[in-house]
Amino acid sequence: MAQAADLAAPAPLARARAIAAADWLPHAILWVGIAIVAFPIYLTLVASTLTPQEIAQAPMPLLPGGEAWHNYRTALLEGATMRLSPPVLVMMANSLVMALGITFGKIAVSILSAYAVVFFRFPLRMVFFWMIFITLMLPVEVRIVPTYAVVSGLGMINTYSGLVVPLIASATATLLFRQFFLTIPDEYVEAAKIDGASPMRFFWDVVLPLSRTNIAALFVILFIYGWNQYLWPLLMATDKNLDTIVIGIKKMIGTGDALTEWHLVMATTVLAMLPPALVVVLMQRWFVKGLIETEK
Amino acid sequence: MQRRVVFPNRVLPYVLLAPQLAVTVVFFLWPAGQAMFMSLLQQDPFGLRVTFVGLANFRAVLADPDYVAAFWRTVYFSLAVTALAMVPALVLAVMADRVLRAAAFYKTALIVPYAIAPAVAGVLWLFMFNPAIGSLAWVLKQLGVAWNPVLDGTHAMLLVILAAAWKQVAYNFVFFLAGLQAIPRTLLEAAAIDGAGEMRKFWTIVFPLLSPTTFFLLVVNVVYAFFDTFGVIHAVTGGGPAKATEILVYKVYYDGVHALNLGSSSAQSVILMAIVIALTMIQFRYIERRVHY
Amino acid sequence: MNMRRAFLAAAAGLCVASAPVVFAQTRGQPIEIQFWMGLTGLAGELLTKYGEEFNKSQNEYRVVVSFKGQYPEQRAAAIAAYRAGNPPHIMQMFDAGSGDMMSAKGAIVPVSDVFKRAGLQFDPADFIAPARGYYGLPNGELLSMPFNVSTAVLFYNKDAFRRAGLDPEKAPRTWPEVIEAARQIRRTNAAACGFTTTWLAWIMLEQFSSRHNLPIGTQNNGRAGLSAELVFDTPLQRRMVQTLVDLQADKSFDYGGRSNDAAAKFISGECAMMTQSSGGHGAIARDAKFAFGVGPLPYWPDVAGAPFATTIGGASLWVFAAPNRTPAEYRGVALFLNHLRSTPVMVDWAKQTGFLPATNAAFRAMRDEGFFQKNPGRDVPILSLIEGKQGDHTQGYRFGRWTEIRDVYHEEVERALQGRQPVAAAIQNAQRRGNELLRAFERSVN
Repeated sequence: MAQAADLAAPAPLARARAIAAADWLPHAILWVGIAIVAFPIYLTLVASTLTPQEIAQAPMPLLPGGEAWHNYRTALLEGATMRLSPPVLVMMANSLVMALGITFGKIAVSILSAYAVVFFRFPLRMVFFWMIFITLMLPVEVRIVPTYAVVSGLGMINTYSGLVVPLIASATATLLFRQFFLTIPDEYVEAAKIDGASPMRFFWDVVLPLSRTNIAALFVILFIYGWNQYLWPLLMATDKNLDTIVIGIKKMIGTGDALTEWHLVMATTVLAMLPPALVVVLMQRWFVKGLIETEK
Repeated sequence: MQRRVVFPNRVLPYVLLAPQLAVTVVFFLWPAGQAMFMSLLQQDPFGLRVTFVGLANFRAVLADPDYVAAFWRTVYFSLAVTALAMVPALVLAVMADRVLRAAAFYKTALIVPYAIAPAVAGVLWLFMFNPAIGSLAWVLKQLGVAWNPVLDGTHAMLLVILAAAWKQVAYNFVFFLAGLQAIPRTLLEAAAIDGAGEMRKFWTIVFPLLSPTTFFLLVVNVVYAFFDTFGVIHAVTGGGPAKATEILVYKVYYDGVHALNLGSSSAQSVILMAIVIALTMIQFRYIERRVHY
Repeated sequence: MNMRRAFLAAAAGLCVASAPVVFAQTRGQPIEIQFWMGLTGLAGELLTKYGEEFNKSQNEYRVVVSFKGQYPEQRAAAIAAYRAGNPPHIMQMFDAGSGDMMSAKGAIVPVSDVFKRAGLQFDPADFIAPARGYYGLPNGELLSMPFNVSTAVLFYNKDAFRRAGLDPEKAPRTWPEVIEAARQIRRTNAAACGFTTTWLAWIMLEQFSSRHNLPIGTQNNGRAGLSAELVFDTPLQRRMVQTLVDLQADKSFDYGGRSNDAAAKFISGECAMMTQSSGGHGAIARDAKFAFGVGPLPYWPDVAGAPFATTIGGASLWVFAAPNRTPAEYRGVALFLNHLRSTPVMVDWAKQTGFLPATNAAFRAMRDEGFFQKNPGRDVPILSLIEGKQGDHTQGYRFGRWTEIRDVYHEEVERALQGRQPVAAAIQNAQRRGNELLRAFERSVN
């Protein structure tokens, strides 16, 4: 990062030379690391451009083939032959609805509740705060059967709301906003009160704009969280038209009767990785901030 | 912590809290309570005959050699994933902290796997290690290894550990790098002037200063391995062969959803809740300390 | 970005997302009949087609055919829906789930009753005998309607046989012959593996027991009472699994996973032989790029009286009870089931998929038009299931939690195949753990 370069070293030129000489090792290690980290992704990209026959004869080629257009078109518009899942385009739409629903839902409910907890005094305030906090300790994995029963009882099985709503309570986002709100200077609140602004006006005009960076950071984290959900849609959506792309990939492998169409699976996998990867790369600054802040 | 200046209002805060509380009560607290209640009952899958059995389900679960085996398997799996995800991440973060040129590129390249769903990561590794067509399986075959994760439990375990750890390296990398960049440069400069070598500098200065981050990541990675790897296991091995990759979370799922053994599955849920609560407590105790540092 | 607008949009989006989906049931609309099937691919497409045909044939009812996952997942979803008060009207459930379904009195309506209430003529004797025995009550009434009927057979790759110098027109009939052929295939490298099997427990335990007239459990294979004990730990069962373990060493046998996954190993040409459900015939015919033949399930010739008939597999259709179901809905169910069991549908279904016709009439129709002569190999499952020699233990079984017991058997045998325990221990453990599950089941329904 930049601050390292700003350091005033005792003998700038000699030091620079020393660094240059010792520099190759970290670069080499980093390249090895990237090679290992990136190899599975690279292989997937390559496989998504090959014919099934090319993939089937181990070892498969390590350079891209000419089937990219065909494979991606088939995956997007038709899906695998077994039709266990709808075409990828439909599944991507489902994933997008789920990811965005969870992201904005979580941000909305938690910014509101954090605002209530921080800017008001009212009976049972801390009880409510702890109730929210405790959700941290109840991941869906430990309450699979009863949660399914509740959602099923509410008639939310196989609905978008069933995919989204049960996941939008978030202790982490509430805690993040709470911490941030505590740093907003009291003078702002005083001024608002003197101006006679209502609490909601203060929320709209001051708190929300100030929260912009936090929201952006949360957006990245929560979008990935939502896009990558697995157990929940697996339980909830038994109707294949609601399959998310992550679930769809699982259904495309090992279907028994027919051979796994790896060329399509790999194209689907690339498509499944693309949106969250883009979000991470394009919003990297907020991503790193979000990751570190939400864990505080 | 509290604010000094607040708004006076009787109704509004409750309205603002309502959506969050509604979701929390309906989808978190109520099901968790249900799990506890159901853990005390014995019932057939259809719920036609329900009897109260007290703690019998817990006794049965804890006495079940399969459950005990799954517990130790989970511990082993978690430690392996944690070690494999943390050590390379630390090495890479130290290196990335040291380079000036192309630092942004390295960072971006190394954090992308964070965006990949555990289940999808599993599929990538399943493909590379597919005994019939996988490239790396082919390499292993050339080396004379009879690679067969469908039948060999050790192979299957290795596969899910690699997939789960691979995805998590990115996360640890981000935290280690942030931790490293928070270390005052002057300390390192001083050590350099004293003639300390790179390794010594790392072990005497960097690593101790990084220990809060390391400890924090330790807990987070264990939690990840315990719970978030469900997708990897489900997509890659389905807990098999012969339960060789069945971790606790997968067992709750299998016993509850497939075997429809609700009493046992609920008792296991309650035990898992206790584990999460313990891990969360550890995590927060640590964070309290870090905040007051 | 304007934060305020973004926030409003988010809030609005949330409201839309969380609005409950309401299924409008307006006057004059046909009554919906939910039918959950557990089949995919060709078979699933056909079932969907039959639903559409039915919908076009009348306008009172509308059948919605949906796939909710493979049988076990679908069963879990249906039971959860039942507990929530809204199960599907009809569910297709595989053989192994029958024991559980039969003990769930109150949750299901026997199909005989469904037809009776609708005033439709229904004679259980219309169905083939093994299906009657398997899905029926002692008084002859049928609990569920047999639909996709199958049994285990041996598929073999004729091209690989030719390469190995074996007679491609002669399927190995006995296990010693299979072993010899598999070894020959490996010796000559005619294929990467000699043989594999799908549905390990179904074929190597259930079908195997019937083929040699051995009981799986006491109490008339579980039919006479819930107190049945498993008794499959026999020298012959151990010999069979030991054979698999021995042959695994040089890939004369290669294990391919628990359910249907091994089918891919045969279809791709990797394995030259496969024991598999006869219902898999259609998929092999469609996807395999080689000539293949079908033979009956192999047997051990030194067993007195062997070979006996194989037993029934596949799935049947169950009708759920629910408090809010109207007589009109049950009538719709009966009409649709009536459509499915009609001879044209049964014949079409059996011809295209490779499943056996479930009714005697459909069987006769296929025989009379010479289908079995024109399609060699398709008569094999019929010969071994219906016309095979019957014994005391060839009529199927009925145990609770059998899907789990199958998995227990899989686990223990997998451990033996991995070399982590001797075969004797594997079979012993499977029997012991299976009995524990049976006792737990007995407790939960009493």
